[in-house]
Amino acid sequence: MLDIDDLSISIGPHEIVSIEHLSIPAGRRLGLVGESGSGKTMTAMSIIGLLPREAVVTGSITFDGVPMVNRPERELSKIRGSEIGTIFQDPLRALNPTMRVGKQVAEALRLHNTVPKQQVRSRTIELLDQVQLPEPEVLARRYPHQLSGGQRQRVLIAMAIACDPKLLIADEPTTALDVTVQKEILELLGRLSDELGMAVMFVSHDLGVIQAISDHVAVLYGGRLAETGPTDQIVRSPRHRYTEALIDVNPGHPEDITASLGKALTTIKGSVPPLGAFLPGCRFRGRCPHETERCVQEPPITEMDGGHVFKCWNPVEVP
Amino acid sequence: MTDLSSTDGLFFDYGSHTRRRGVDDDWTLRDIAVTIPAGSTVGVVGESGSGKSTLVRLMCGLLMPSRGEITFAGRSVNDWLSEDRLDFHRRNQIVFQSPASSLDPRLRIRTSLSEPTKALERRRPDTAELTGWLADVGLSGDVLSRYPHQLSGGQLQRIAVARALSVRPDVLYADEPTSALDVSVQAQVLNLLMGLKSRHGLTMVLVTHDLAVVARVCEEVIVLKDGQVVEVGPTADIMTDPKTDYTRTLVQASRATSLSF
Amino acid sequence: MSDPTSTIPSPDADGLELFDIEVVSPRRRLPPQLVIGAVIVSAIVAVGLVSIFWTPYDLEAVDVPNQFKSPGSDGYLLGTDKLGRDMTSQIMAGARNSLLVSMISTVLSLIPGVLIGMIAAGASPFWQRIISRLTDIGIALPGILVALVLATSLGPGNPTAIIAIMFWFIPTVARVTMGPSRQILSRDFVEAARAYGRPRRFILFRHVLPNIGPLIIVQASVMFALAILIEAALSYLGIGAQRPTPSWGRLLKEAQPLMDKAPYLMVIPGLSIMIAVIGFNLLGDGLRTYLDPQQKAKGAG
Repeated sequence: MLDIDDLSISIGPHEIVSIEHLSIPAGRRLGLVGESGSGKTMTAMSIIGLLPREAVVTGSITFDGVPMVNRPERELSKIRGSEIGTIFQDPLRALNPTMRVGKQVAEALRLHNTVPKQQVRSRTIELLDQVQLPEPEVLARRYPHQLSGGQRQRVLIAMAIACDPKLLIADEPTTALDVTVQKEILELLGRLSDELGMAVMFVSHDLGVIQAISDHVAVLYGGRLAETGPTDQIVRSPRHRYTEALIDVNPGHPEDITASLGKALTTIKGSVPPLGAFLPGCRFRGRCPHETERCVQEPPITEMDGGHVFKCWNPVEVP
Repeated sequence: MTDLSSTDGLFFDYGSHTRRRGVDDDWTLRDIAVTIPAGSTVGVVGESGSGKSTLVRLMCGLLMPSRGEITFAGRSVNDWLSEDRLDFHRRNQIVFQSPASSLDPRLRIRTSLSEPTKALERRRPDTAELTGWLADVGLSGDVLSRYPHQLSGGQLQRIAVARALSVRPDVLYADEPTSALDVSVQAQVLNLLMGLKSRHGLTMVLVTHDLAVVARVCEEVIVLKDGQVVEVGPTADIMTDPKTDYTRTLVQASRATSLSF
Repeated sequence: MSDPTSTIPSPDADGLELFDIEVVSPRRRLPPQLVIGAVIVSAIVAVGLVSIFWTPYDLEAVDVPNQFKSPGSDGYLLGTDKLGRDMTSQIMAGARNSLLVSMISTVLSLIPGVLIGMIAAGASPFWQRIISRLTDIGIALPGILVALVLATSLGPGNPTAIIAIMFWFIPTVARVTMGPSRQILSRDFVEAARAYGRPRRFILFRHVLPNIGPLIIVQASVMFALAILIEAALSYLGIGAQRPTPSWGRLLKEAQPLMDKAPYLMVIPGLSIMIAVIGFNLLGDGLRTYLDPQQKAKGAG
């Protein structure tokens, strides 16, 4: 349903994102994982045309058979909100502080004329109920600042699904939340996606969170796609050396403590270079412990079973 | 192990009129009694609003308790602050969560790094000393002439650690020191903290919301909820066999969002 | 709610807000307003300075035969008034007076205003509320009325104008300083400074003042423009500068009865005031853009 091909996003002289291919079938969930500077947010925002003005986009993004790149802003804004819903990390900034939350959800319904006028009110309550807010009638009359962080994110989700979008773009929606609330929101998103047949692109820096929500993952580093495929397969046996490192640096399971307490964590040497300071060839060069001479060239795309794809000259051996 | 720092019947609230408030009223922290053994690494966990950051700010003298007592090295913190204020501060240092906000954007790293020594020891550290402190946290002396906006989050957090350790404290409080960092940088900073702790014989109190970090770094855990202590104990016990529903919920939620192989 | 410090930030919180990409920022260019404003302001300052040592004619030299010369005639660049006094000289000297009064009143307002604002920001919530209310009252007081009351007790003249402008400005400066100071005081480096034993007073001067410096500079240039306007208005009303002290506002007042006979006598000081005010406003606006932290290179997140 969503297909990205040869996408390239540049600002000034720097190419920030360069992705050969990425797709989400209808109703599926894809996680986009990467650290700061990986271009994950840029990639997600390019789908709905929300990039800084000076960004130059080439390549093709097809949503539901319709090309999205360089579309006029008027058409894009129609698609945003009706066919593609978006939720962000900071719900407080996305909500109007002077408007009751029920009214904001109703507004989202009215904007795209999805339901007849008489039903807007009942549908609003229904939506708030659908995102599992307790006492939706009471809550609809509250202002954003009277809600907790988790409740605000739920309101935002209600607004995003108001028009039955085919795709939901979620940009770090749980990063600012407590771990217990985070778990609930992830469960809610998974359930809504299943029930409504809605595809989800979930952007996060946290592979654990991605694993909890999405069956497929795309690992980005330095604006390039390092590896993509089924999440469990990639977490269990990553092939790209960056994915391997990203998994290894995790502090581990909270229950593994007898084995790991006080032991040093695995690290990746150095830090992500600033834009324009990446070495030619593989983006992970210079930090990769398994670098070979071939790595100065752009690594080839290797495809495996189950849609597992990676770009690495010296991949992790499969046991 | 002897107790280096402890609290007893500690109440705190940011609002005024705390004197008139009853024990059962609304407090940011209520009736906290915890101990920090010398040389240990203690984790303070809880959700936002649980009061975990407030607790460490009280213990290092940045806030004054509304009621109750905080003891450091066998002496009331009140006494410390009125009689040996500078020595108390020298022995209790703190690192914060946001590396971007930890250093004054208008001062060069050299100046920021010299500040604690100037304030507490009334002398100006020389370049060799400054470079030594930076080397201790894995940075080169080049950064001395830089401004904070020229450095990465990981580098800034290392400098904040170096600044706190420059006065050779007994206790290092760290308030979510890695939650604003990328996971790869988090690993570097956690390793750094563990290394420094054993090299300098520090006592460390680590505030975090991430149980995976606690499991890796801390020997003991204090679990806070709504300003009260819910559970205290060795990390292994708390993680594998939580005694309260709240801790169990925390561990389960943390498990649900960490990598499973 | 009760624990403001324990929110969990995102890993990208310190990088670019929406896009997690560090963009190497191009070299900062001077905003055009800043350049134009700076040119106008330096021209006025230059004219004012020159007038201390030299003016084309003696300021008070009466020369009735040459009265009402229109601008540009017989070596009188800006014409002469009803007693044949040279307008060019008066405008030049007027610039000097305008700048002097504005500078003194701006500086004398900034120092106490910034101090009050900073100290209030660091005070307990109780004192913060009291000082906020006091500054509100100060801001709400009509400045012209204050000036009239002062004039009746002190008599008209430059000192009255300066004191009136100070009454006008100090509450505003205090108010403008307070918010940003409070913001700086809530940053972690301030808590770190307290943790290594720095007293509050030291923190205000060492950390708060330099960080709100750019804001104060911008505020000062805007105040300067306003002060020029107020000085002219007070002199026009007869509260400010009196003859023989040269002043644009006073020239304006004297030209009023002659509006039909010699309109240029009114237009020229009016234009001078306008150009000066625009110059300082442009300078302030340009500085605001130039010093805006958002424009500065962002650190890697």
